[in-house]
Amino acid sequence: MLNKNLKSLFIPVLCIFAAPVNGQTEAPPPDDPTTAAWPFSAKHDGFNISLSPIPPDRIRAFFTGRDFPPEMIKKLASYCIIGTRIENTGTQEFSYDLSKWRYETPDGKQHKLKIKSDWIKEWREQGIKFAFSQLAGNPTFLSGDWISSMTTYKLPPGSSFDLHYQWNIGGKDNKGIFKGVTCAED
Amino acid sequence: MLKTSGKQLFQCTLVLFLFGISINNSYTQGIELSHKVSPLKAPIPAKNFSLSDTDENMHQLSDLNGKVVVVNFWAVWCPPCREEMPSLERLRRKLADKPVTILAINQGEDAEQILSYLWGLDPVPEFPILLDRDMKVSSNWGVTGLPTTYIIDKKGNIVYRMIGGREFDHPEIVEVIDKLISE
Repeated sequence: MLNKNLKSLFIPVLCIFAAPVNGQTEAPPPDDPTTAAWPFSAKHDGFNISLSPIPPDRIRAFFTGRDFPPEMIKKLASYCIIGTRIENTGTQEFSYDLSKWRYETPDGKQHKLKIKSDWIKEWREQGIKFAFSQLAGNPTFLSGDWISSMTTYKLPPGSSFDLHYQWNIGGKDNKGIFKGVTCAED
Repeated sequence: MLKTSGKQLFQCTLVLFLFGISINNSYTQGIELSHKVSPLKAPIPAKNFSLSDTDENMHQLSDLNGKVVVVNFWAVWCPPCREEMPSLERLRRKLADKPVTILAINQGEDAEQILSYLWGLDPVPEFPILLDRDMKVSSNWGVTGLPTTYIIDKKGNIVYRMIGGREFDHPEIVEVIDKLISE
């Protein structure tokens, strides 16, 4: 019942936000509940990337469950956090470097993401040992590898931005863009 | 009054329980486990570790030289880790008479929480669940996300690494391990 409700919620979201991106983004079929959970999705010759905004309530619940201190939970929930899935469906390995990714706000300014190493530094300073949940900064994905983690943007709930992402395959840098990514509402 | 409150509490608990199941299902539904396994460009010597399991027995990786070892880093909170866990036990059963050891290294969770999850699985894992309480082993090994699984050859070198959930008893993965056993 709940899944049905979620599905009916995601379909209009898909219709609104599945903007064409770089000519390569695919709008997931609206009748597929598994892809409907990832309203932004792109496939580039083995490098697949999907995004799904995570509501702050879910962020609070997740980090409360990991015994994070209340102040850090509050801080995490104040960021726009996007579930980010990356998958190597090709035959070659690829890498990406999150420090090269940028998000562009409607005023045309480009910003760096707050990446895993930034969070880990803050967490260690507060005695938090947890090391996961944030998308790895500079990994290599072998054929068949995939991961579903979080990327963070210093934007309030409901904000909209374009995400410029890059990856390297066979020594060649590649770029892509998602237009009109929208942070979840609180 | 107490009876009514109790009934309301029960109803509330039931709703929250069912809601929890639905949310959990919505997270785990549609996780398709890969069965691709790619070799590293060059073998890497596996760093030794010494960890206790959920029964407080100590395990040292270097004691397993001469065996093929599957090392799986995981956590209960991680949906693909949960999805792939039964396939690790099916793999163990398939290779039970061969020199293979499976070690699942949990990241920072309590033994009680881990066991209450594992006992609900079918099949229930019978391989050791090691406790990396401060997550130092995963850090030493360069684990960037969960689940991550390594296959170590009989000489103690990491020869395969898999990021993301896998169907470990898939014939292609079993074949890879069988080849390592016969080397």
